[in-house]
Amino acid sequence: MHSHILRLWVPLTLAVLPATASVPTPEEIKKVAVDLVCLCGSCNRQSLATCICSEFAVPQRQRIGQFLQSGKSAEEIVTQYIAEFGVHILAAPPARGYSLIAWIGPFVGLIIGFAAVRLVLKRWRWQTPGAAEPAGVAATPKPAGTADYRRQLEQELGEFDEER
Amino acid sequence: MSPTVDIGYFALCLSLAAAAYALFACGLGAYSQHDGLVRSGENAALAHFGLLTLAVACLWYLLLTGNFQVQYVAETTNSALPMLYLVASLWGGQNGSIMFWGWLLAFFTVLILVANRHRYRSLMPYTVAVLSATSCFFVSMSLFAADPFKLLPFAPVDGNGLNPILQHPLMAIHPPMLYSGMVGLSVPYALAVAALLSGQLDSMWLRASRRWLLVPWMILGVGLLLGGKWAYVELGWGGYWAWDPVENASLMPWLAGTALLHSMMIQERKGMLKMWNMILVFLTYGMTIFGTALTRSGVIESVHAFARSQVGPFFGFYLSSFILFSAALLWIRRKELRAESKLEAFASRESAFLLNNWILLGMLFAVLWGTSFPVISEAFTGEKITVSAPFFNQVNVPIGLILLLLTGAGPLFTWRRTSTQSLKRNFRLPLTAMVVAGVALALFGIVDFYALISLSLCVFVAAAIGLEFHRGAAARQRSTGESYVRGIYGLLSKSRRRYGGYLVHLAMIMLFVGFTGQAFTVDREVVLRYGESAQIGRYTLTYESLAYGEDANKTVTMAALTLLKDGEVATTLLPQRHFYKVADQGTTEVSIYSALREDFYVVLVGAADDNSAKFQIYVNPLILWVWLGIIAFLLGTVWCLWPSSRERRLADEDRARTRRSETAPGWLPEIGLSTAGPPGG
Repeated sequence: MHSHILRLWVPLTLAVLPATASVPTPEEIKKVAVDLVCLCGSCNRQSLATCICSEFAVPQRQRIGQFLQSGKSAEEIVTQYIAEFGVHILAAPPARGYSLIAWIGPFVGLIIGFAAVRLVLKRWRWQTPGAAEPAGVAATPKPAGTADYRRQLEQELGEFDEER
Repeated sequence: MSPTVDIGYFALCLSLAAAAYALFACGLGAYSQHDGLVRSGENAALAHFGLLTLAVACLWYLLLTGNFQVQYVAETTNSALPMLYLVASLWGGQNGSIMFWGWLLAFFTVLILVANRHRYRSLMPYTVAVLSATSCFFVSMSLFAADPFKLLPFAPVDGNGLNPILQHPLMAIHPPMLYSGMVGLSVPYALAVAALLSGQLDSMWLRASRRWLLVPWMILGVGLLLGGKWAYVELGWGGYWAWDPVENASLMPWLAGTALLHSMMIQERKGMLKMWNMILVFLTYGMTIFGTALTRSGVIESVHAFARSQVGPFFGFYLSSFILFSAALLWIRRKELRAESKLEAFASRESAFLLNNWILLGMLFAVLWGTSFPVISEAFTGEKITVSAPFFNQVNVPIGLILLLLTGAGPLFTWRRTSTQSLKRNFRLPLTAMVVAGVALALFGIVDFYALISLSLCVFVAAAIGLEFHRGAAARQRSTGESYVRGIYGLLSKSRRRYGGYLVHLAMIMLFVGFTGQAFTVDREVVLRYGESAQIGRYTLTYESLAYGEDANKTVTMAALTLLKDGEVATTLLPQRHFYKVADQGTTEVSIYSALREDFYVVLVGAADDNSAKFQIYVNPLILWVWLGIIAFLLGTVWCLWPSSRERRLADEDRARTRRSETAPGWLPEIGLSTAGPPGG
């Protein structure tokens, strides 16, 4: 029982001990840690800022605090972590080199999708409907430009009431 | 060794044979129009369900009686595990959950067979064949790659226990809900394939699928959010959605299903988008399989785990044959899937629906991209990278905001064409409300760019929906003379689909309000001794005492804290740490004070012998709106689903007609209906 309480406590005492000048606050540490993930293996790579596992996240936040105190900048710390653990300690792929593709991909998808929607709409607008279907169904009467809203609404409501 | 193992295993084997026969008999019977063969196949599907139920019951029995010689039982349970988690461990591990998945699929097959045995008779043979094909896949995976009845060469004294973080009541309902949702989405797919195979390409399959889509979609949506709730109360990092691959895997089919729910309306009304709806229904189903493959094969952890994992090749084979089969089917029927009418104007509801599909699929693509990028990266460059929450948040927040905008704007367009005047009239009030709200929020000090936009858009959507209700009610008031309130009720009950849909949109606003709160989370770490207090915003937190406890399964450390809100006692918070003996692993049990405005969330990080303890505190604004949003989502969807009086009447007439004209009864044990005597008598 007590052994595990002590285990939880070890990082905490470490955190309290070096109480010299300009000790980084937990908030300052988290500002750096938020760009990294926990690699303890059991938390599914949670953010290093929020993970509470005592095997990896807590001691590493501790270390970040020491780095900050020794005057290292956030970028320097992150660079050191990449050198130490590999690029997969970064929470998101760096926006440069080939992993820029990761960032661009979704937006390229959106743009292509939008272009496709435009194309489809244009084709629908000008194409005659499928020949397979009997004449008459397609020839729905067009409303005369500016139909009175109320009439249209009621007609629409009527249609909705009709359909199941 | 227990005979239960053998019974379960043989039931599983026989159920595979039954599913294979159902596939063969229904497929061939439908093709050659041989009624007897079809009926025989449908009965085989029932038998498949019965046998699989027996297999599931056997595994349950083994889990409950703690037969640790069975590998699955030893890996997922131990003797100290409480009853609830023994029951839930059926789906707590890989092999059990795959068999459970197969069982759910068999259950859905029986459901649709019983529910639609008359109404959509002509679609049923192929539907059962398709569902049986999927069953064959899952059961053979269960038998050959993930055998839940596999025995260990020796009988261990005790098992390893269920992963401690899964030992939470929500975990007993969240996975079965997700699975039911995912599995249920096979039914619309099966109906669509049935329509394609049988050539009945009018909107019948869509009408038949509407509820089979809506119900699993609803269950999946609620399941997703319950998973979020579990993460929030169990994982102790203050949030509820981590964009974890497992979460993404179940979000993707939900997004595809949402797109389908919208675009199927165009086909029902206008006979357009026939091909597109087919593609969407395939995509939805494909995403359920792909998502399962992604999370079950270990490919996320490492590309090489995929080939090593036994289920990986199964999924690979099934997915590729599914894609080939669907593409071939669509190609063959492409000419019959042409649109029946044309677009009359760009400014129309039809275009709005297309934009809705665009943004939903855009989001799906972004999630898919981010989830698979590490796999692709590792496969091509050998470099492992992480794509986690910061990526997904940055990419999906703008997409989500466009979605929110369209949620409000879409319904303001009328079908066919919307004149400039009516556009102006429709948009004036919601836009004004949005601008006023935006300015007011900015004056109140909300300067976060995305949060400001999100909350203003929420007001826009709410105003747009309010306007729809108001106009509808006013129109009814004028035409029927009924009161305004009755008018609103009349709208809701007469046009359940339309106004129920708006209720779901309102639930989405609540969810977005909740999501937006994340922008203002306060994160503090404090160390307190007995009697000491910390001031966090308008809260005062006082550490009172620490207590220890123990049961067979775990030890418990619990801190007691008093929370004052604006100087008045709000509640006592009891954050805990559990330590699970068998797993040698700790978990946090957070304590939360919840209000509409914000949650006060406390995690006990650690305690020391000098009466001090360290606490992690989050103040999470607006988070309660997410959980309220779930309830609203559920109610709104149920409202849409509930048959209207007209529909009930039609169904009754349908039933009466088929009962009179039924010439060959007894092909299926009509549950509770035809037990009166020998058929044909």
